[in-house]
Amino acid sequence: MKKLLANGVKFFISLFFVFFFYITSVNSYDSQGFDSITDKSFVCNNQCFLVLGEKGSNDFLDITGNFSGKGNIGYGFLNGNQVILGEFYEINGNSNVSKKFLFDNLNLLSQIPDTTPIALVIQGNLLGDVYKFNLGKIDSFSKLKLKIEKFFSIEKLTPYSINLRNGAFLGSIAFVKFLYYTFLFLFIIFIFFKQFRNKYFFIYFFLVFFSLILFRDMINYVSILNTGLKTYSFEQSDKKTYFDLGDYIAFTDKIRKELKLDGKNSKIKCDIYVDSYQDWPYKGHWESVYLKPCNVVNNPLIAQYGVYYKKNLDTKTINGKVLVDFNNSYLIQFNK
Amino acid sequence: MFEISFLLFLKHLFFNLVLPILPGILFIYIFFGTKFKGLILYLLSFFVGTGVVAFSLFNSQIVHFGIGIIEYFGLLLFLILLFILKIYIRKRKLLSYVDTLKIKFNSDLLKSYKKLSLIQKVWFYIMSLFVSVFIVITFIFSINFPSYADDTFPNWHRPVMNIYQDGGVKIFGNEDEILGRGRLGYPIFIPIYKTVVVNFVGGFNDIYINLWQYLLFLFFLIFIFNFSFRKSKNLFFTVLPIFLVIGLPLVFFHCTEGYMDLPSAIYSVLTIYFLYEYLLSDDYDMLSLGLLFGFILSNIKNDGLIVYFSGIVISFILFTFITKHFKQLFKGLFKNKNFLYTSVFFALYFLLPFIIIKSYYGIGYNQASGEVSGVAMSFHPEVFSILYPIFFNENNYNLVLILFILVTYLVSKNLKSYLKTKIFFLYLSFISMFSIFFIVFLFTSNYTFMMDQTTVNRVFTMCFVVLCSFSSLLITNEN
Repeated sequence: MKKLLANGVKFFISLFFVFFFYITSVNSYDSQGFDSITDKSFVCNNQCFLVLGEKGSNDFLDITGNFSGKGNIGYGFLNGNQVILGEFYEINGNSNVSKKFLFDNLNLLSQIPDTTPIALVIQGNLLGDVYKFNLGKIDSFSKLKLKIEKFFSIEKLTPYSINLRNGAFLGSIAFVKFLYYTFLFLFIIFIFFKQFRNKYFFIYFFLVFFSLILFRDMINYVSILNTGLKTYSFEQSDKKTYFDLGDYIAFTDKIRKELKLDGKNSKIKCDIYVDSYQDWPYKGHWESVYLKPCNVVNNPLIAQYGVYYKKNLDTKTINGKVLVDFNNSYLIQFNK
Repeated sequence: MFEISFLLFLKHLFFNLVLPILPGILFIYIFFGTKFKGLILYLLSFFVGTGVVAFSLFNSQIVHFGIGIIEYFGLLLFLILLFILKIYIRKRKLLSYVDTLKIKFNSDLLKSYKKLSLIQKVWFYIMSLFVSVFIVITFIFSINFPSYADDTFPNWHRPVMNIYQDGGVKIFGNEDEILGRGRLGYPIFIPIYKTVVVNFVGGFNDIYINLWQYLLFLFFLIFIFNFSFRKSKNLFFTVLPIFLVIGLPLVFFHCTEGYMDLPSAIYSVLTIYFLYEYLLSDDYDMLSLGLLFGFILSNIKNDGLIVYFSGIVISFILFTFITKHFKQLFKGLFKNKNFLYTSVFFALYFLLPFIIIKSYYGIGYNQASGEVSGVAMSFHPEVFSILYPIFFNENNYNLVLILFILVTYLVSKNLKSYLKTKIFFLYLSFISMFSIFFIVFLFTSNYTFMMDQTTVNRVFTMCFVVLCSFSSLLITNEN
């Protein structure tokens, strides 16, 4: 009886440890969330993790395979109870994927210890068939080439540009941080030289570093300007795209011209219902400025017009007349 | 709204220059006589004139509803009559005023170039090249692209469209009818000025509506050049502050967009500069002009009063206490009746109306964080964790911390000298404004805007614009 009790206790303790380690620590090839997973196929509905190995000296994750469904596949670093998410690839429908994720693209990479496990992360409803997930290293020359490419990669004009700039990176270290440390290092050496202890010499020395950042920023500014001029200013009106806002300005211009909202009609009264594939930033811009003097309303029943931006609309079923039909976007005059 | 054409650009350029400069020159003549001449007169006219147009038309809405071409010419006519009255009463000659309109080339510029050392000449060319390229790129950007950043639309352009559509600004009424029907509580003075331009041009154009921001920035750079050269007589130290300002990464985006952060920084520099000139010369006209710019600054953005102007006033009072100048200032305030009447008028005309109207409706200064009134005090030490990433892991400020450390070192090492030359006031103003911003993030619900970086970098950048603008004076400590 005593022996049975002792074995029973041992069994439950073992069970506890198995359960404990399952929750709190990860071993190689641990998986979570999958409906089913084998070496050749998997089914994920919602969110799934598959631990692939440690960060170590690995530089990339290679994903190949046939995937179907709707979701995102990418990677993350498992830092305690947190997952530091890296890049993701969107899958919509059947896709034959061959994608390499470079860990260097993650700005926080230098802060992640080498022993941190890397997990494949799937979000959405995805099926995988004949897949391979491989961690790998890049040779030194390719690494250097990638670092140079990354350093000169352009930081585009985005909605957050007016609030913050990421800046250039040397590998995973910010160029600004690199220059601060270099400046400090050289300063400590040069301070022993009498000539350097002159404020004017210090300023010239400082300006070298300041100019490097400004020069790198100028590359961004020229590139942004060039992109804008090519895709917006010098493009024909029907083909204009405005950075990541796409053809929304061109579409809005067509609406304003169709309804004659500028010039003599600039003070008319009208109500417009708007519906776009996403509210931000379009609805705010239309509401506050771009569809003025019309008011943007939430109910199409009280509106004279309807704006449908990138919506799959069956115009035959709409109770109105199509005034503008532009790249899957429509201006409708409702029948009253 | 999105038309780009050379003729339309010329129209916008013409009206953005003429509409503020004409009333600006008249206003300066009326209150400051022939004190300012040549290039500085035109620059100040632009800065002052924008405020004169905006605030005059806003104040007139109390008795007459209407903002348009007729109202603008009414203002201009009124200023002309006042000017004629002044000449008649003071028995001044009109020719003395006409003389101030001539711009003369400063031959000291060439002399200064010859005196530069080789290394200073090299840096002069390098910095000038950067500045020139920057000006060209931002100019092309500002005349080709529509507005992009989010806050421009609901906060600053919606009131322009509404005022243009309504024909004026309703002062009394329901909350959804008043004050340009923009973001309630946000100052609408610059939108009022832009509405006047829209009226003259004949419509709202989203490409050229931000031309005012660009011209303001350009004239600001010229103003820095002007005072830096007058103080240093050294071309290297004249171009240095401009180079440092354009080297701040967010400046590129702010000088081509409709946000009011950069105009706030610019009017802060103007306020600080003229208060500094008063401290140097005891000329109460400089104090008046400094207060005028301060009152305009207070109503460009809510931050204008709470942070920028408050910070400048605190540093000014503190400086006068430290240098034992306060008693002299206080006595002089009442002895100099011209200054007293002028300043009271400026306060009543430029500062108080909007404050009174906001108080009437119970509107506070913290709308951005969702507070209708009040400040919602709370302690948020988590903001300290953002400081390192924003300065070292991102490129929001270039290497401006090194400049700050250098200036701090020079000031602390030669404090007596900096107090004597009054240049300490310039440093104190920067510290004061920066500190108030940080206190706001640390102790109010605005901490979220630091944690998510939707505000912190641009407001800190504007403080560094102030520091960089005065960098030549702060480094050379010569006036």
